[in-house]
Amino acid sequence: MNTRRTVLAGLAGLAGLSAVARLPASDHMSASVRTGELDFGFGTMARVLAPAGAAPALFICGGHAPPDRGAGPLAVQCAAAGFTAVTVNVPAARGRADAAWLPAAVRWVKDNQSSGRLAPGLVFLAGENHGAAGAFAWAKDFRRALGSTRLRAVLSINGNYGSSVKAEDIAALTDGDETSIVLISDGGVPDDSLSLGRELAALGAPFELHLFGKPEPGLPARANGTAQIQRLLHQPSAS
Amino acid sequence: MQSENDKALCELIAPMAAAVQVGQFGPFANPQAAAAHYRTMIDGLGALRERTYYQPAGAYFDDIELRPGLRTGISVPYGPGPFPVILHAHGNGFMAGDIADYKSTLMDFAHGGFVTVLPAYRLAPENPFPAGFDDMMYAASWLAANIGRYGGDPGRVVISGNSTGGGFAYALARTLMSTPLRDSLRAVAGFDGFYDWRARGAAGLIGFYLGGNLELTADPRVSVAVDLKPGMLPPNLYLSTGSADFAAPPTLGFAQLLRSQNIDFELHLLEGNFHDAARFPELDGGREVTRLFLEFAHRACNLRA
Repeated sequence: MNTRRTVLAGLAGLAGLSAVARLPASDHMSASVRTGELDFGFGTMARVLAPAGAAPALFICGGHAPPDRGAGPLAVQCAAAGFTAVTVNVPAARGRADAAWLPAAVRWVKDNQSSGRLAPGLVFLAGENHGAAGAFAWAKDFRRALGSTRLRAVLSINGNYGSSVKAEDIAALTDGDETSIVLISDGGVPDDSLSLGRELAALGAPFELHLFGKPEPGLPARANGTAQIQRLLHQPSAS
Repeated sequence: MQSENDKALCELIAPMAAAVQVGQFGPFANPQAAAAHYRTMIDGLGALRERTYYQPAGAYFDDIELRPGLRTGISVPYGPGPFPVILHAHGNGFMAGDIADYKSTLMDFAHGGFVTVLPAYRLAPENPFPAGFDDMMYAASWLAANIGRYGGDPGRVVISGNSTGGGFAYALARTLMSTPLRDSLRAVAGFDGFYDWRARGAAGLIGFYLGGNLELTADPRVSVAVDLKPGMLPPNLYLSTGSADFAAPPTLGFAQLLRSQNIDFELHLLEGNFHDAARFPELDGGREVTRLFLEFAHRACNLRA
């Protein structure tokens, strides 16, 4: 399959901006969003939720999910928070060995930044549960492929990392203050955020960690994750 | 990743904060020399804090006498109340700190909807443990009987503390849980705190705080982590620190202990924040710590954030 053609086909889907998704009020999403489907090739599909205007892209690893399943609810919240959320079906199990989708994804970013559909200069990466392990697995290659576009932050929500994520690799992402690491957990599922945080602290790496011990209605880690990356978005970094 | 604002301010503040760290843990021959050095450093930071702004509140009392020799600051929100109450144990190494140093804390917490009580407990080395601890215990009992006169609700109390006051607040809350006041305790919070002094042994200020009796580091009123079990603390726990804070490892270690005991807690580690960053509301990261804490405290007191 010709990657360029599939990306263009995907863009055509995104360009079909007349589609309006009406999302549940419980997701705090009352505005209309543009939706689209992308094919990054090599079996990697993505679903896009784009708010009005040129919003920064936020790639969410772990599922090509509709708004109500998998990574979908996170995408909905991120879109409501002003990000163009791109849920990508890159399961962590595939790991860095399968990076074939990255060039197409980066090209999609560049093309849409050039055309004004995406905010220029920066991109975010996120994942929930096992998707968080995926986000960290892809981060290094993604950052390199993005070139002058900055990978502003990697956001992990309720991350289950297993052995695929090394603290040293994550700490390396923070070199030069280019990429922020944000770990968030609501304690509702077993997760590795605290132990990973201790390792990062021992390495002297800058990062953020937010653990919510008592999840309650209206306070999921997901919402707080969105709030934190919004803060990063609106807080220009020093570098 | 720090903001432009924070990076510039940190360049100004960090050397002085580092000097304070030396004061805390450096080798001093006697308590008087340590206290003199430490207080000089704190005064230096205090001069910086004269630039600090604070939020408006309904009222601010800077010198309320609770009993002879024990004064407190009290701040009150705007409005009719009754408001939930924060009892704050200030930091500064058990050897320094006064009400005036913490005006921004008092005002910001009142602005956030809490009647806030910040006692000037007796300081080491002149008054070693348990003098300051007893003062805070007295302040808690005074609060229960009197805070209504300031618009506070004595049935909804949050204990908090910063730096050495963080572990102090937790130890205080743990002790109060064995008193009739336990039902009023909704939460305890530590900013950049130290929760287990046993590992620090003879180094630095803890020896001065304890009058040289390091066996007291195993006293739960000093190290709250000692033999900590579920039910010994209030129902809502908050911890915060920063990735550039030397209190980050102790805070994360305490969080790990809480998790191992299946005790729920909320933890926030802010990127780039150095020690006691919340005391500098000019810092974006400092204000974020305060915001997260007030949001937590409102949830703990069942109020709208």
